[in-house]
Amino acid sequence: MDTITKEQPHHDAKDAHHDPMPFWRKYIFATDHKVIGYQYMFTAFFFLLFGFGLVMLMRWQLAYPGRPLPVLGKLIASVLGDSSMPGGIMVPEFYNALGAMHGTIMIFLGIVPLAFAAFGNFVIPLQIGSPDMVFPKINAASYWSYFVGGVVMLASFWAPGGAAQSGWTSYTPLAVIAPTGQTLWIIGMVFLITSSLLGAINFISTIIQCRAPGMTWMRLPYFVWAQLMTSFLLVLAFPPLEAAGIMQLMDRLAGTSFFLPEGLVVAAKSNVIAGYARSGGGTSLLWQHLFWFLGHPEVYVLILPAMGIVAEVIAANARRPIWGYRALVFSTLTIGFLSFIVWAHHMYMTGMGSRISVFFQTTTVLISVPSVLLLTCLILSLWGGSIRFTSSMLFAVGFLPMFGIGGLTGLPLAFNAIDLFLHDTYYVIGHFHYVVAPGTIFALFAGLYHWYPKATGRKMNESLGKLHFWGSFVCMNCIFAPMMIQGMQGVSRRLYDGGATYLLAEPTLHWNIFMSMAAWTLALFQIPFLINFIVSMKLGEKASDNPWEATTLEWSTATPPPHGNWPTLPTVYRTAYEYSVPGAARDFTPQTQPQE
Amino acid sequence: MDIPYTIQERPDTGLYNAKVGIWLFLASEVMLFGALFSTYIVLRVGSFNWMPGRDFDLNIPIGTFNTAVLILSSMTMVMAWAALKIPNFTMFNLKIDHFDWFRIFLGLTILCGLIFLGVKSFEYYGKFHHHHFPETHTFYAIYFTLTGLHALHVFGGMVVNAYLFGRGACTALVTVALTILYMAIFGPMHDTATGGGAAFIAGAAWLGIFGLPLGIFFLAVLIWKNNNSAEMWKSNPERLTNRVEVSGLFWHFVDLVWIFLFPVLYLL
Amino acid sequence: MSDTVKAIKKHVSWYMIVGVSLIVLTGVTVGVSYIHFGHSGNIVVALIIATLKAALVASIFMHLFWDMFVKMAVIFKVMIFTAIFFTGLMALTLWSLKDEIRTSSSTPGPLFRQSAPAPAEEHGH
Ligand code: HEM
Ligand SMILES: [Cu+2]
Repeated sequence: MDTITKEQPHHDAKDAHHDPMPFWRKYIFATDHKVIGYQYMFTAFFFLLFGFGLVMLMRWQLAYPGRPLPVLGKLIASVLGDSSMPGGIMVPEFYNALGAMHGTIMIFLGIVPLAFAAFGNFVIPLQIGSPDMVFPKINAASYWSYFVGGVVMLASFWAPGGAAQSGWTSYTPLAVIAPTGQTLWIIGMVFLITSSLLGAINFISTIIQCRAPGMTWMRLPYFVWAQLMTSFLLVLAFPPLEAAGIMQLMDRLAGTSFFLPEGLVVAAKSNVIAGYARSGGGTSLLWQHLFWFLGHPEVYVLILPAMGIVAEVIAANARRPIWGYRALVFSTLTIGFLSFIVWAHHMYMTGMGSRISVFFQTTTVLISVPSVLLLTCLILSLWGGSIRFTSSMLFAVGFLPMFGIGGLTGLPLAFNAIDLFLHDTYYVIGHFHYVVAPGTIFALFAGLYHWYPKATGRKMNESLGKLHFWGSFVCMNCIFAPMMIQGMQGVSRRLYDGGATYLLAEPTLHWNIFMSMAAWTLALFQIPFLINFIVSMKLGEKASDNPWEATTLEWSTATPPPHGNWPTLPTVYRTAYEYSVPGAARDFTPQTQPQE
Repeated sequence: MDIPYTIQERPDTGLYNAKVGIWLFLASEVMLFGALFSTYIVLRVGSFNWMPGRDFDLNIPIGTFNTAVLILSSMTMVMAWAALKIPNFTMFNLKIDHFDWFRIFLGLTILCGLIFLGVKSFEYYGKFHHHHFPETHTFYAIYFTLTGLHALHVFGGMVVNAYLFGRGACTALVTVALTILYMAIFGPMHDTATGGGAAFIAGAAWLGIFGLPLGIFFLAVLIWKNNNSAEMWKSNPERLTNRVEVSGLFWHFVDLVWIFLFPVLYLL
Repeated sequence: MSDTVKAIKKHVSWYMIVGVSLIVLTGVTVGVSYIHFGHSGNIVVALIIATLKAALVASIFMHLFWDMFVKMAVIFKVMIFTAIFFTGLMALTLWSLKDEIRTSSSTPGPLFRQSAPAPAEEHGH
C-alpha cells in the first residue's frame, strides 16, 4: 500500500527547474493541454451564457407576443439598431436571428467546445498518462480557430440585416437568399469545423500513441473511450458539412444553384419578384442530406462526452466498479458506427419513399439499443454502491433520468408514421433539449465539480452546489416537459408568436408563460454556481491530490498538475475502476498500484 | 517531460505521431471530397439540364498534360523521401550527395505544382474569357468548386514542400501568391469595363506562370546552401525525413483526388 | 520494419515503374473515352481505370502495400471505415432522392423535378 504514497510526486519538486513563464506565454499563447483546456472552458462558458441570454429574450416574445420588453429591450435596440427591437418590441427577423444563433452558439460554440474540447484537453492526457497532447501547437491552433469562429459569429449580429436567420440547420433555399449574416455564419462555421477537426485529430493521435506503459485499451477509463469515439465522429462527419458550407457560399456569392430548385421565384421585400435559379438544376434536399450527415453524428458528439463524464463521476462516488465496462465500450463503438447511417430520420417529411424511410427507421431503432445499454450500465453501476451524494454526483445521477426521458421521447420520432405528425413541433424541441440541456449540461456541471479540485487545488462549496443542482433540476423540467405537451397538440417550432395565431395551439398556450418564467428562474439558479466557481478558487476548502479517492491516473499526479504532468511516465497495472475490491486494504486501488 | 514517439515509432502501432495525424487528416479529406463527389453524382443523375464536361469546351489535351504533371510530381515526391532515406542514393552515376538529391527531387515536385497551377489558371482564364462562370451552368458550378478546392490543396501542399525545401522558398511562394491574390481581387475593381477584370486576372496568371517559378528559383538557388531544413538535416535527420514523408502523404492524396477529378470532369 | 534502407532501395525502381504506368494509364483513359461503350459503359471503364490508378498511388507511393503486413493496423481500420461511410453518404443520399413517393402506375420521373417552368431569360452575355 505504501507504494502509492511513494509514487505520488511531491508538490514542490516540480517547479524547481522550470522558469516561470510570462503571463501571455502561459495563458494566451499556451501549448500546455491543461491551459488550452481552461481557455476552451472559459470561452465556451461565455458562449453558453450568451446563448442562454438569447433564448431568454426569445422566451419573452413567446410568453408575451408583441409586448415591449422593459428596459432591456430599449438597450438592445440602441446597440443593434432598429432592425432588432424598436421600442422594445421584437421584430420577426430578429426573433429568427435569435433562434438561429441560439442553436448555433449552444451547439457549436458552447457544448462541443466545453464537453469535447475543454474536458477532453484537460482530462485525456492525465487519464492516459501522457505528458501532453501529441501535437501541442496544433492544439493551440485549434483553440484560436475556435476563437476566431466565435468572434465572426458574434460580429454577424452587426451585419446588415442582422445575424443568420435560417435556423441552426440553415436550410436552403431560405438560407441562400437570406441577408449577409448567413455568409458570416458560413465563414464562422468553417473556422469552427477546422477547430474541431484539428482537435479531434489531436485527441485520436494522443490516445493511440501516448498511452502510458501498461495502459492497454481495456484499461482505459470510459471517458477516454467516449472522447475517442466523439473524435472519430467529428473527423468523419464534419467535412461533408464543410463541403456543403462551401457550396452554400458559392450559391450565395458566385451565383451557382447547388441547393436551389430550378425556377424558384422569391418575393423579395420590395415586392419585386426575382428569379433565383442561376446555374440551374439543384435541389434543397441535397443540403439537408449533407447537413444531417453531420447533424446526427453531431448529436452523439453532444452526448458521448457527457456519458464519459457521468461514468467517471458515478464510479468515484458510488465506490464500486462501473457495471459492464465492456458493454459500455462496445455500445459506444456501435453507436459511433450506426450514427452515420441514420441521418435521414430528420427528413421523413421531405417526401422520401417508403423503402428508404423504412431503412432509416430501422437503423434509428437499432441505434437506440446501444443507447439504452449505456444508460442501463450506468444505472446498474449504482446498484449496491455506498453512494456519496456530492454536488457532482447529484448532477451525474440527475443526468440519468433526464437522458432517459430524452432518449425515450426520441423513439416515437424514429417511426416515420408518427414522426410525420410530430416533426417540427415543439415535441422535437422537447426531445432534444431533454438530452442536451438537463442531460449533457448536467453532465458538464458534474464534470466541473468533479475535476475542479484537480485544476485549482480547492473544492467547490457543497451547499451552493446543492442549491444549484436542485434549482436547475426543477427549472429544467418545468421548461421542457410542457414542450412535449404543446408538441403533441401540434404546435410548430420556430413560431414568432409561440402559436398565438393558431387555433389548435389555444389549449396549450398558457404553458408559454410558465415555461418562460421557468427559464428566467433557471438563470437565477446559475448565480450560486458562478459565485461558487469564482470564490472557491481563492476560498474553497483545500483539496488533496486525490480528494475523491478515485482510481484513475489523473488523481495520482500533483495538484495542479505541472507542465508535463508527471516527473516520469506512470506505469499502469490494473483496470480503471477497482473500487471496493474484496480483500484490498482500502476501498479504491489506483491504476498505478502494482499487482501483488 | 517530452512527448513520446515524436520521431521513433511506437512499437505496438508501428507509427510515429505525425503519421497517425496525417492519416486521420486524410480520412477527413476523403469525406470532404466525398461529399463533393456525391454532389456531382446527384447533379449528374438528377439535374434535368445536366450536360457532361465532354460537351463543354474543356480542353482534354491540356487536362491530360496537367494530370501527367501531377503524377510526375507525386513520383518525384516519393523519390525525394527515398533519397533522404538511402545514404548512398544516387542516379545516373552522378556524384551528388543524397541530401542534394532530396532537394533536387523536392524542387522538381514544387516546380510541377507550379506548372499545374499555372496551367489551371490558364484554363480558368479561358473559361472566364468565354464568359463561362460558375453561375453559367450546373456543370461549371461543380467544375469550379471541385477544381478550385483541389487547387487550394495543391497550393497548401506546395507551401509545406517549399518550407521543407527551405524557409526562403516558402516565403517566396507565399509572397508571390499573396501578390497574385491581391491583383486578382483588386485588379478588376480598377477596370470596370466588361472583361477588363478577367483580362487583369489573366495577366496575373501569366505573370504567375513565368514570374513565380523564376522568382522562386532565384531565391531557391540563393538558399541552396544555407537554410533551416539543411540545419535540421544535420541536427535531427530523422525528424526531417519524417516531415518529408508526412508532407508526401498529403501530396499523394492531392494527386489521388485529381486522378478521379480528371476523368469525371473532362472525359465523362 | 518495412522502411529499412535495403527495402527502400528495392522500392525505388517500383516508384519509377508506377510513375510511368500511371502516366500511360492516363493516356489510356483519354484514349478509351473516344470509344463508345454504350449507355454507361464509358463511365464504368473510366472509373475502373481511375480506381486502378488510385490504388497504385495509395499502395506504392503511400506505402500501403508494404505496410499492410507489417504495421499500421490502426490506419487500415480508420481508412476502411472512412470508405464505408463515404459509400454510405453517396449511396443513401442517391437512394433517398430516387425513392420518391409515387403510385404504382406513375412512371419514374427525373430525380428532382422542376418546381416551376424555368425562367425564359438565359444567363449569359
Ligand atoms: C436515443 C435515441 C434517439 C432517437 C431514437 C432519436 C430520434 C430522433 C429523431 C427521429 C429526430 C427527428 C425528429 C424530427 O425532426 O421530426 C430527432 C431529433 C433530434 N434529436 Fe434525437 N434521438 C435520439 C437521441 C438523441 C440524442 C442523444 C441527442 C443529443 C444529444 C439527440 C438530439 C436531437 C436533436 C438536436 C434533434 C433535432 C434537430 C432539429 O431538428 O433541430 N437525439 N431525434
Ligand atoms: Cu438524429
